[in-house]
Amino acid sequence: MRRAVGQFLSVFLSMGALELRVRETLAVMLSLAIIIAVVVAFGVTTVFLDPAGREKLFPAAIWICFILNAAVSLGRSFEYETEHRLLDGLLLAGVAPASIFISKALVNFVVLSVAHLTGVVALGMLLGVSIAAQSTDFIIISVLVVLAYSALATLVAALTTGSRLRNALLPIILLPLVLPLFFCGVELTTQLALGESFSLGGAWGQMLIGLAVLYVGLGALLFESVVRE
Amino acid sequence: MNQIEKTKTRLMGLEYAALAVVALLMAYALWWVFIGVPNERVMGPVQRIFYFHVGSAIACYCSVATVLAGSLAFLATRKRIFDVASEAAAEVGLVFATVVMLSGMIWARPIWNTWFHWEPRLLSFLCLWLVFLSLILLRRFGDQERTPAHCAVLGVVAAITVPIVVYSIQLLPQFAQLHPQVVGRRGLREDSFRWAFGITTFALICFQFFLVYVRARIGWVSIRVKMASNDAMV
Repeated sequence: MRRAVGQFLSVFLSMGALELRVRETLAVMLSLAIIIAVVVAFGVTTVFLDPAGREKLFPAAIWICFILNAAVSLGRSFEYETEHRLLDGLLLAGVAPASIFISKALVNFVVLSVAHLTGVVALGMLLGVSIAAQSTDFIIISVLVVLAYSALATLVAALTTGSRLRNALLPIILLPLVLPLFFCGVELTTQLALGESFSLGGAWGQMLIGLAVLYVGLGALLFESVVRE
Repeated sequence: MNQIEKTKTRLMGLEYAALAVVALLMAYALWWVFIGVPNERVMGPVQRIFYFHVGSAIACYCSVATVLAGSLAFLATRKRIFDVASEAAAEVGLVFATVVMLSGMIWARPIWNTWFHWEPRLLSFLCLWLVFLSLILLRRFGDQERTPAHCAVLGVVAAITVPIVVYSIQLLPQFAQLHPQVVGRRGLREDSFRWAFGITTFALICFQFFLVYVRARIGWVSIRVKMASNDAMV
């Protein structure tokens, strides 16, 4: 057990250090978060000039920004590892595939969280809407959605890495699978924004928790079949 | 006639028999849907789409179950036959999902006055349709060396969509949705409606499994032909 935790920590730290050194995904994501926020805010302010309309649309807008940004940016997720045969090296060194998966998913989770935060702040400023009053509940929803998304996106990114069309194939495969997460995020954030009673014990909350657990569990179980063929 | 020829002839006989049974079942179901049941009191003749719509949805779920079973079996054994079955079920599932979407739209237009309504059941089924499409696209454009394993992994993940579709009806209260819960709320009160629904669903499920079998057989033969031509080239 101690050995497995040690393995996981060293892989996670080295992948995190690699991401910080290369900065490809992070740079692309942060730029896209701001660009998509500007485009969405421009569209929203053109159509809905009244602040009430903007407030109603805000929850959907932040999750649209997040999903689009993440689906486009994570195309490069395994590119560096594949080019330099890092995964083969880790597998040959005896690292468990589940450890590699969880490490990579956590690195993606951190990067996606930073991008999501940037998108929310940018959109909030551009639309003049704030959910600071419900920030704790919003953070809980965001953590669950981003965690489930990171796990699924890491698995699907590994599936599409060897394809010629990987940058196009990743969003095509990923988006239909993450749409239920998107619905959960939008519904729960709308409940928050409209000041309705919020609870993760409701139908949407239960579905979100269930999906987060399923995607992380399935990813850890199936990752070996993706990389060891 | 040697043993292989005898087996082939017996297999072809079984296939023709299965085709005849499926055709008879479909004809019987069609008779019930168009002649056997009376017009529904409120919706009139358009309600007859219900039998194909719900039956195709259940047949579509059977395709997902086949994809899941084939994917798990492939991951456990690495036998190519399971991958072929999974591929066939994904293609047939896409066809049935398309039938469900189109028949739903044709039914919704006169009854709800709209082709599509943004609510959990319809959206989640649209997701299922897109998931089938992505399974086929991954097979066509994915990493060619690892296609069977990758498609098996995606097949397992894709199966999560079905419980979401089934559960989706509970995400909003019934008054906030247009999609009815006819079967769940025991809306089929007439015996003839229940019988027509049962026989149509059964016929469509049999038809679905027959199509999966035929498509899998074509896939298996094409793999054998490829292997034989590769051997000949060597």
